[in-house]
Amino acid sequence: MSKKLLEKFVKKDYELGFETRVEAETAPQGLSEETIKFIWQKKQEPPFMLDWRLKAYRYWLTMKEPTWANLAYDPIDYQKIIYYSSPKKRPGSLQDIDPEIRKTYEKLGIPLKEQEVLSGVVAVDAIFDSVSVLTTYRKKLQELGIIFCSISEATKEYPDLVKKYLGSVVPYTDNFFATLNSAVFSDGSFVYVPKGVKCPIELSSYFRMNTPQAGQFERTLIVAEEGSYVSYIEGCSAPQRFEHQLHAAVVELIAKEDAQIRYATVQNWYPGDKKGKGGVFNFVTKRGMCAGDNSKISWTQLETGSAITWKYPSCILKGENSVGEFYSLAITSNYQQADTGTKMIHLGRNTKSRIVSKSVSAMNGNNSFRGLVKVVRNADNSQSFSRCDALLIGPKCGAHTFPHFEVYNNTSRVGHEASTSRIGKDIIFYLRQRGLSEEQAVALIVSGFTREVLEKLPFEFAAEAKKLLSVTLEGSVG
Amino acid sequence: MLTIKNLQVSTEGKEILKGVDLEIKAGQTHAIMGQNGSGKTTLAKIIAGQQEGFLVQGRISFLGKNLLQMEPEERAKAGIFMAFQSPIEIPGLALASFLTSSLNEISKSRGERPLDPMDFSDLAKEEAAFLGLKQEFLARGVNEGFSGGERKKNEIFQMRVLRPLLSILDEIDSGLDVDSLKKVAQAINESRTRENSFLIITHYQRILNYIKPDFVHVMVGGRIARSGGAELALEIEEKGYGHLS
Amino acid sequence: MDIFLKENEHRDCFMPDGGGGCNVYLGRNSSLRFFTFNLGGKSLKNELNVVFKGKGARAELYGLYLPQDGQVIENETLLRHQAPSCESFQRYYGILPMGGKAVFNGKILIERKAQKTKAYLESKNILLSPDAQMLGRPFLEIFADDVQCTHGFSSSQIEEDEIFYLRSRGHNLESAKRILLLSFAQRNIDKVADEETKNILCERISRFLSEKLEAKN
Repeated sequence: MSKKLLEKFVKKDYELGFETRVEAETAPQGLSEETIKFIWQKKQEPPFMLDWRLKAYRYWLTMKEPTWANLAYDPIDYQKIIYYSSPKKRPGSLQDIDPEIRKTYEKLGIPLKEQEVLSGVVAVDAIFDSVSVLTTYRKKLQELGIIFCSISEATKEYPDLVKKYLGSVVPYTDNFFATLNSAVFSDGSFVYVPKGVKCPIELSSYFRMNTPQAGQFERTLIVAEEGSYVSYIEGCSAPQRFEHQLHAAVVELIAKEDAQIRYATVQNWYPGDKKGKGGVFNFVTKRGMCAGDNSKISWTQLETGSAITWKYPSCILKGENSVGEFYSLAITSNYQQADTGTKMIHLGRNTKSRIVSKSVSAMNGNNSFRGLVKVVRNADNSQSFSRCDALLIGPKCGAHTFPHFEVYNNTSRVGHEASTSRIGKDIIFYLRQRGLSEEQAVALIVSGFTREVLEKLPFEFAAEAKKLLSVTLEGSVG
Repeated sequence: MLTIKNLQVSTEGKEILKGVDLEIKAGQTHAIMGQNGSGKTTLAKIIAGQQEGFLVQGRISFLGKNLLQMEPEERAKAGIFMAFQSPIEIPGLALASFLTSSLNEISKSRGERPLDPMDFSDLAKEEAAFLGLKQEFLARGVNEGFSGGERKKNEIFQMRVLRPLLSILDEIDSGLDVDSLKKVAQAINESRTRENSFLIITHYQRILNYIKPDFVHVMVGGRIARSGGAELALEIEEKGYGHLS
Repeated sequence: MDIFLKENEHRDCFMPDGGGGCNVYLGRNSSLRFFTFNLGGKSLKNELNVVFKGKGARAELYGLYLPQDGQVIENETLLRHQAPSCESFQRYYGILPMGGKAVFNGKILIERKAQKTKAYLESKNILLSPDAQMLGRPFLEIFADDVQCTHGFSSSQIEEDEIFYLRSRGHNLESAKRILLLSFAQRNIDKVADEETKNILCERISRFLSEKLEAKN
């Protein structure tokens, strides 16, 4: 109710100044149809996108914000948020970057030049001595017919593709935050891989010509045609600061017959304070549709829980024999909380899903896994296996598992196991008596424990991930 | 090599070691016999560095260094090895992985080059085969699913690979059948050189039939009540512990 | 129904027919065996809460449910480990021969002071009909690290190779299925101390399975 009143008030205020505002760098505070128009104009999108966005916005107004009992966050004032700001001014030099972030870059062993790029100090094209490297990259993709650009560019250059696929996996009515995202999204990737093409490189938003920084409302759409393959890495592996209180992103993947998509995320994280929260609420709707027979979608992620994140990548296994996979490693220390999980919906026959969730909780860290495996009546002979393993370090941490199973088909096979283990003092002493320091002992055990998931990360990530692990677990034993 | 002077150890107000003196020279094999509660396992723990919860007074020097000031891994790198009485299980940590890391750490501190994976593999296979341990155990978690006897063999296997200067074997015979005991004893005997030493802690005399000690000490009530040669063990076997206190 | 087990006390309990709720509080070193068996009948819900209040307490929970067509059998267990060195063992088995529905919500909560807890939960379900429905939610909340906790959930048909084994020994398909299902149920029934009760249960299940399996054909 108050939302509507506020909206009216705000609208009145803007009606006057709207025309001149178009040139401005940021939209006026608050959300209204004017804001949507502002974004649409700034992005120079074709008319069909305005209709799409407005439809979503009007639907959003009828929705109620969901509340979760477990979540501790300040209530979001939707009218206080600025829904669009043009690419951030880059910091002048490396010295301008937050010292915490710099420290972490150092710990992660990221060389200076790369640090500059990742912080936006230097544009992507400048670290490569010439235009050549980046151009070769794009050229290669172009030769293969692979489209990789920003979502806004796609609405202009490839409107038919966007019209066909945007919202096909996560419709604008899906949930409160996805609907909001549909109305105000301003950044994100569009990937299209044509029939039979296997993309030879890991795609990453890092290499988009636009600013590499995560937008507030990112929208990513990846389409893999018959027989194609693509591996995508979300964001950068380096820490980033969340500027805004609310981030609501949507990721849609579509795999057609015999196609495969791999989507990896190493959490963009900002160390936050020792108490863990950075006051950020990160809500991401990620869904993969295995539309064609024999298609496969894999989600791989590494979470460190330094922001409140609500992410449940899911797979809809529609095509016969399609496969959905979820490999997750969540590591929390200090007062961090990670809440992660997945949904596997078996619609087609002979579909398979595999879920491996590993969590490491140290000090006062807490890890939760939420999962849903649903097998509908017609999903004959489908199989689902999941395992959740928790490694607990120290007597004050916590690990929780909340899997849900709904089986409506009797020829299917569903199996799940969960177990806990610890790195107790006696184990540490045993390893120390064999010449290893405490740090080495913890690292060795954690390495063995996390191997199965880390192996699934793209090679480029693996080394960073290992470092991330050790940085997070520093000083966590004893 | 190892000199213990007036070692007193207590925990929660209770005295466990009431002044222990012991000297072990290079090349020697000592046995400590005693009943449960005599303090022999505590003695082993203190030497290895498991001092938490204990109040320790006295002096232990190892190769001239003040052992009580050293961290457990430093003691290991200096050349001390303990075969635990009840070795724990570490599922999820492959034995090969852990042992390779250990060996590399210890080699590094000795100024030796670490073994390359092929050599390690050959060495490991040889030692494992001799002790009657199946090859697969190298890939499994440490002591995962192992019986008590198998865990003891695993301790000796590790000792053979790490080649320590002073090996403390805490009740290595418990849980072993006669055949396994013979194999383990043989492995230990073949490891004895003029440079290294052994401290065998045992309740029963049996193992000392297979591993001839140079010295035998009997612990009673937190002290070494008597010391002697190998014959002392036979005396205990015949007359029991009672007649000493 | 509230049940209090004093120090060192042992008790065998049965959930009343037709569903119900039961809270059991376990004192030091006490031990509990609780049976929840449901065969056909009207839709029902069983709620069982076990609180481990004293050190060294032990609980074994055995559940068996065979819903008939149109029936919903719901089992909800909540085990709260509040004391150290306790052990809990849960085995809930379901056989769904027709269009029945089973729900199993098994939650294990291990509090910070419950170090050295051993907790084990197994929920195994055999679905024989395309109309059968199974919903499972095995939850774990762990706040202590020196614990051994495992749980498993599965839903499947009768194992093909087990059927084949019996057939290769001369049994026909129906007989093989019945034998396997009965021996599956037997694992939990065998835990009942009283011989007569055991026999009655076995007989009832055997009859139930024969009827329902026949009805299917």
